[in-house]
Amino acid sequence: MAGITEHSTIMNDANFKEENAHLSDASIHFGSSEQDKTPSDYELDDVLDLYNDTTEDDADDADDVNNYIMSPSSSLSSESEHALDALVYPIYSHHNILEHENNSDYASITPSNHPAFTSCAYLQNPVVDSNNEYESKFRLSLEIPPTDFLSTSTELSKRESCLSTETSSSKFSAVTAATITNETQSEKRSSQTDPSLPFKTNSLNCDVTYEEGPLTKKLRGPKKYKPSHSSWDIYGFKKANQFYTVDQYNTWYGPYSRYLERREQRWKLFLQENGIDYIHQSPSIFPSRSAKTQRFIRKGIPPEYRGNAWFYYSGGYELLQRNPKLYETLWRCACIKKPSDSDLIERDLYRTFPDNVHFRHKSKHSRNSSDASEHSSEEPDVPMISKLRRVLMTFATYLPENGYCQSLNFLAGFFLLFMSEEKAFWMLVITCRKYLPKMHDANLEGANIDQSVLMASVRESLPAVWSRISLNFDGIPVNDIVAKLPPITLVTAAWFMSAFVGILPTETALRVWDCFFYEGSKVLFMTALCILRLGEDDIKSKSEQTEVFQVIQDLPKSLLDANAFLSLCFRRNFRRTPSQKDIERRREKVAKKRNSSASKLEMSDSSKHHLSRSSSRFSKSHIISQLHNHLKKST
Amino acid sequence: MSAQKRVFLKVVILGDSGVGKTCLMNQFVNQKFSREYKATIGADFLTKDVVVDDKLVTLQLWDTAGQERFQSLGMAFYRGADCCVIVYNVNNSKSFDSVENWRQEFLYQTSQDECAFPFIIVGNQIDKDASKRAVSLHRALDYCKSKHGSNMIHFEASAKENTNVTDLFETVSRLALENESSRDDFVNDFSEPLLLSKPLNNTSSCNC
Repeated sequence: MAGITEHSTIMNDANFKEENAHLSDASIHFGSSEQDKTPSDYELDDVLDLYNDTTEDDADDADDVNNYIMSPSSSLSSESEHALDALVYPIYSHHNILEHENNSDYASITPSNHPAFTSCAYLQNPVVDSNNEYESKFRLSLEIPPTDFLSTSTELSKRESCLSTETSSSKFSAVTAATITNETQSEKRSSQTDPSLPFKTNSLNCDVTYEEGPLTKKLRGPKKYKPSHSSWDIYGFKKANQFYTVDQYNTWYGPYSRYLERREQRWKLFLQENGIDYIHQSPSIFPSRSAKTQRFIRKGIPPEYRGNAWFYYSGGYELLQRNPKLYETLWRCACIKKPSDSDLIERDLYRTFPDNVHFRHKSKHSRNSSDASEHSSEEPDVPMISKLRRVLMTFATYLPENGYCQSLNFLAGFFLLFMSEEKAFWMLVITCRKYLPKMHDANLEGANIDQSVLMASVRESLPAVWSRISLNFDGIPVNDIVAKLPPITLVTAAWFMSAFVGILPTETALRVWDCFFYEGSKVLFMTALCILRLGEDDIKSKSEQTEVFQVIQDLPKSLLDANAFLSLCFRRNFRRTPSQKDIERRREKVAKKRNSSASKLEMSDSSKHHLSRSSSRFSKSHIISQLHNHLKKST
Repeated sequence: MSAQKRVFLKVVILGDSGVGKTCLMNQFVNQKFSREYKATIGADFLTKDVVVDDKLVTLQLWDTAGQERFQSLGMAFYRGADCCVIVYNVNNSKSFDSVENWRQEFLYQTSQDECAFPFIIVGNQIDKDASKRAVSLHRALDYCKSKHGSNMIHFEASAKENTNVTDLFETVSRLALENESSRDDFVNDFSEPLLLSKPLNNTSSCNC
């Protein structure tokens, strides 16, 4: 009952009576399930108790942020640092890939001295260094051979040199490598005759662009925030949707546009104070981390600076400097060997932001064709679609074992509005590696973990909501939130996977992102909890699970007032969310628990059927539900 | 379940990415077609009240993400479904090949009796040019026939032109209702639902 006592301490006096009445309701509900718990459940509850830490201080938070996100400030845009990097991380170390490079297929693509290839080679070399533990962990994660293709070319080159070297990371035998190359070649040949292929695989001209995102430019001039009667907002999204009309949007945006003006002036002063030039160019460095910076970020980054600020605070410049031209190289690799998910990517290109002018065909009548494949064959893609394709294909090539996961298109699309495609690619890498680890992996492990953590938070801080959402489809309360997530997580998982893009209205989502890339993934938890808190009364009033789901699904979509929402998210007495460190800790615990319960279940289940089927479909969860069914039948 | 109580029928819509699951569902629920749907992540959910044989029922339609990996999210998701709709694109042979996988996956997850559980197989996007057709009606019907004794009904439809959409969901409602009443009999064997949960809890805990 620890959660309930905790809860009562945070309740407003005014609400106390009502909430308490509800709590007793809830405690009856939980009472029965409490008895069913085994020690391991209690242990987990303890682990997931979000409120062991009562620190709510801003300064504390800032510290926490500093520990979590590797600080890019020292190494940024500094020539000397870059030079030092080159010394510390020699490109031509361990495996002599480059020596054999001319023998491999790769030579035909990239001249031997092309810097792009050296950066690929760099990726294959283990890097051990750094005082910052997080940083080194992060960098190590980049050593995974980025593509099948690269491993293949490495292998090929080794085969040519009589297989003299062994690499631990190599996945392919020489024979396999040869087969793959043959496949690649036949693919190349077929592509020359097949015009329906999504991109020209025979074209070795790299059409990667380095221009900034369209909004960075557009939102630089004067009067950019001025309210208009157009049906499109300043970001190019449609103002109206099924949750609010253009008039409602304009009513909100009028005063908000003045807020944007004011914030921009404040930011300019702030940059000036920190000696950052914003007049001649869009700044690529930003004020260092402090309580003041955090306050500025929470009040919103001016759209003109947004892309660079995200990139800066998440450590993007550092990665970009360490891996120059890698993006371009990987895109070339993707052209030669299409990532396995390329069809899926193609289908999603036009299903990313159909409601944004930058992602639509210019001529309206040409949109008569009815699906994505027809778009591409009938007329050339608009620049943003081509960029989105390159970023997603490159990303899938970069992490072939995970490939493309739907929802990455939304993240990439948002990035592309505010930055160049190369930066967007790196932001995607950073988001998937650092902010939302494993979330978009082939088995969505990270998504499952984060939903367990979120559900634990809901159980602790919003027991009334929890009592409504914790029933599974059979009407039975979910006790062990690690082994079995309540059905509502199908909805909330989408919130996390797309980081609220397309879930919250554009401005609100952007404001959440400002904080997200500065403060870490705890912001997503805070956002989710805030949404559920806002819907609490509505949720309580619904008797049917169906209605509860509908409320939760629709609620975020109408939260147009970004200022009101953000201030509620970060309100002190409301901020019952854990620090970033706690989130990390809890993620780890849940991950461990998931692993151990899975291995035990697999053991006990091994005598049963179905294990021979494809592994991605048959995760632990399947096995657990199978076990349940089995028991149900035998009862 | 008393006659007065509102009847909720859960319908799960499955199928490969981009075959038109969201479009079909929205055409049925909101009577409109839009090209502007975004890719579905996780699951989306809509409800619609329909009258089946003078009985008012509420359909809960679960529109799912087509990418296979999303199945690792919704372990208990298919459970309690009264009918399953599997959609393919008649212009995409691969999406038709996946139909059987989706069916097997559903049966496996829900431990349903293959013969009894109602499936509706829908070939969508028949509005496209005939030259693009990759799955003939004949082939689809052959497939349905090949599953002897199974409860499968096939439709061809166009969400865009609203062809067959109403018929299709009418059949869905009817089959779901039939299935729901038979399922109720089953549940009534265990008058205490908690009885079911106890061994489950014990198992999941002691194995953890």
